[in-house]
Amino acid sequence: MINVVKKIFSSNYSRSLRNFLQIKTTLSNKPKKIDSTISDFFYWNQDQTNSTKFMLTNLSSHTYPLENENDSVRMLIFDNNGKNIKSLNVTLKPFETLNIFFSDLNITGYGSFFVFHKFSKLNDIFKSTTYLAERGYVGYRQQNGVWNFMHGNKFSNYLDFKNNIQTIEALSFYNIEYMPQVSFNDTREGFIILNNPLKKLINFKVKYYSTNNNLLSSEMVNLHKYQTKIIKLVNSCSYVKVSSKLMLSRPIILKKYKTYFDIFHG
Amino acid sequence: MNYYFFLNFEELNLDSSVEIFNSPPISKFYKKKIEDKKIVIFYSKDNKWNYFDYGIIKKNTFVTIKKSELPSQLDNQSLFIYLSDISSELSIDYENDYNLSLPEWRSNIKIISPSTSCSYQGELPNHFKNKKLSLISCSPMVQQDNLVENYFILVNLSKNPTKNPFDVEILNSKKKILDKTTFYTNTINKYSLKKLKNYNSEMFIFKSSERGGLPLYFSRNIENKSMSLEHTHPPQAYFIFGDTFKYQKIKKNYWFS
Repeated sequence: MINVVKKIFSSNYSRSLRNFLQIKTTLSNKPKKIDSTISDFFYWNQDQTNSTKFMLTNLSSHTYPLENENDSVRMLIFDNNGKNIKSLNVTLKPFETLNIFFSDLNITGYGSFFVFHKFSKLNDIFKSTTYLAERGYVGYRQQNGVWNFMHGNKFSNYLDFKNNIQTIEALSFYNIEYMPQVSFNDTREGFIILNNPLKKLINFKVKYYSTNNNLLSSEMVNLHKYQTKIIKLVNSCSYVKVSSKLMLSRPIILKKYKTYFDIFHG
Repeated sequence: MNYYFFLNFEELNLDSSVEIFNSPPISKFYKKKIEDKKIVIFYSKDNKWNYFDYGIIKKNTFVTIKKSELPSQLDNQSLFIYLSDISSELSIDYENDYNLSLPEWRSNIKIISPSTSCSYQGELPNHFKNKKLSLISCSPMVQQDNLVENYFILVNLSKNPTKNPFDVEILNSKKKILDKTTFYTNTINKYSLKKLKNYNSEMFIFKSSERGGLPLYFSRNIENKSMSLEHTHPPQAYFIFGDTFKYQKIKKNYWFS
């Protein structure tokens, strides 16, 4: 009986209702397919100044180290317009970690990407209704500076065994406003980076505030399926609030300094 | 309660700061009342907790505290921060759930050079203080460039104010022990990876069966002109829903056996 109640309470219908009533709100839905693995929607930027690399590691070795299994990985890379411009299939040996340099992929610009893992012991994980998620580490670099690392921002999308991508990001009936708990007072140029993990349009609203909590201005940022946008903050902006129908409109923060930059999830 | 902390690298001519917002990331989900709070900085010295009342943070404002601007009595200490009720006694055991929220109520924890900064949004949850944790941190973030220095940082906060030593081992992915070091409780511990320059490994594993904490990786070029700071996920963070701790247990059993 307890298990049935638990199952009903944790279903996606129940999650939507909980979010509507704001009782035990949740930021993620469950994948509709049990045989799914999850990925963040990672940001990349590759041009003459900027470089990106992804630290691709065998997650089977992290999960079942004694099994010594290969890990088959599928990377799906989208440009800033949401177009799938590259798909990679990589097989990792046990305990192997590869640097995936975007400079080797013959792509330039910026956008977002998914990383989905598959290995045979995943079936054991599925049986316990748990899902494996790639939340790994992306390195960003300018010229010959150090690789500036940032891990995944949130549980985003899943790939089922029929290779369909779906989101697990929970949606709200009304706009939910998110405030990154960081100021931009120390930077000469501040940016936020937003991407859209959904197959439909998201309308983000970005509000710019001064240190004294005065609303300086606001703007709508519309992102189509899998699009990515880099938004430069207005002058004198001290902090931002971002809202949309996503339960978690958490942006990536980018700050430029005299000799380098800082990047982290907000 | 969540705690925050400074990352000290004065010896490298670097400053650090903690930026605290007195409002949650999503107000709509937050059911408590936002109110003015007292910022308390504390540290372990002579086997007891020492407190410094930094002052009031007004509701819906933020404060950036630079380590270099704090009184000299706080120099060379591992400093932690919490938000207290204005009328409460200064005490690490003072329990409150004011800065617990969905998603986590974080602060910007930053290392500052004269020309750039690196930071992450961090917090040290109260259960880190109350539980006897162990450590497994697998990091692919170490950079083997000759002009780059890498540091492993372990932030430990324990209920008992004494600074007790504990051993940490550094392994490669084949479980070979490359080095050992001693860390202390209630300390922002640092380990330079210079010694590991000769090991051509894509992954280093920092391990302790005695104590745990928050593992962070800091890299800088030797002129402090470019820097990086990030933490590694705990083992269960690679899973969502169901029994995520089952897989943490499998991973820890492997590395501790």
